[in-house]
Amino acid sequence: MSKEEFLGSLNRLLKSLGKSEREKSLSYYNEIIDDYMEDGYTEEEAVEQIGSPGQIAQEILKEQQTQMKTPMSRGMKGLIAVLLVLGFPLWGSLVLAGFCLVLSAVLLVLSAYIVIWCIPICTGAVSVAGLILSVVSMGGAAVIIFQNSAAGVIQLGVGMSSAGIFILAGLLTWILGQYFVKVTVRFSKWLAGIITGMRRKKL
Amino acid sequence: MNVQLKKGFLEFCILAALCEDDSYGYQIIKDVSGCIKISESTLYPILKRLENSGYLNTYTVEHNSRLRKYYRITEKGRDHIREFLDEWQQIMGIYEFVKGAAEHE
Repeated sequence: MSKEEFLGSLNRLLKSLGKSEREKSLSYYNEIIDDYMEDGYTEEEAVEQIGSPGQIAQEILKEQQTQMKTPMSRGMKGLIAVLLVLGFPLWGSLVLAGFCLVLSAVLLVLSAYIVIWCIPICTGAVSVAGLILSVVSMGGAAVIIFQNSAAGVIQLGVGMSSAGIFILAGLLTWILGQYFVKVTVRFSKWLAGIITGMRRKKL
Repeated sequence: MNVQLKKGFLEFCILAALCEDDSYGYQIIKDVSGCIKISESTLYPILKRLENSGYLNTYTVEHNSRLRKYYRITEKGRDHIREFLDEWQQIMGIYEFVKGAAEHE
């Protein structure tokens, strides 16, 4: 193969490369072939030393690809920064929307927990109220009963019935609490299942 | 030799070939070949990479009514060689570690 043929075919094979890169490669091989010839090789031998244009083109193109993967130049980084700033109205709103979506999902989950625990909290509150009322009433009755026995007895009755409410509501809270712990655990498991399912889908 | 290792070493061999005086492609291949085998198509991308990294710069000289591209090592390139030499102790340490482990097997 002559030098002209070699360079011509290399030129064709490197078409996908930019013009300046292509010319640089061609002049490099042109120079090497000339140097071989100056060293006493014939043109044919010189070209033979270098190898086939196909193989050489492949190596050059492969190198070009790996270079593209290496860190970006400063200019490229600057360009990307400018584009990011200019594109803020677009990606900014998208990020905001995404953030709001996540926030609403978290609030939804929180409200679900609150709703679940609403009933036991109510009965618990009634129970605590009954306890306070009974303590205050019976304490008051102990004082009043010496001044006005009728009012004192009524007061004592109110106190005792409050204590009853406290015990009943307390028991109810205890039973409901146990039940709702189970419900909460089941709900959490269901939620975790959805989240891991989504993750698995992503993978 | 392992391809990755060879690639790494070639970089320093090429810079070393430029230490004393500026040189051109054909001459670099001749000089480096005494130590490690290198082909024209291997040299080209390494030269390009070294130039992009600022370890060497280039200029053209007319020679026998044609152009020849010369490569000159920069100060940064010399620093690069120095760093490599300073690392040698560490590389020898790795060698000893691997050798020791292989012998105890």
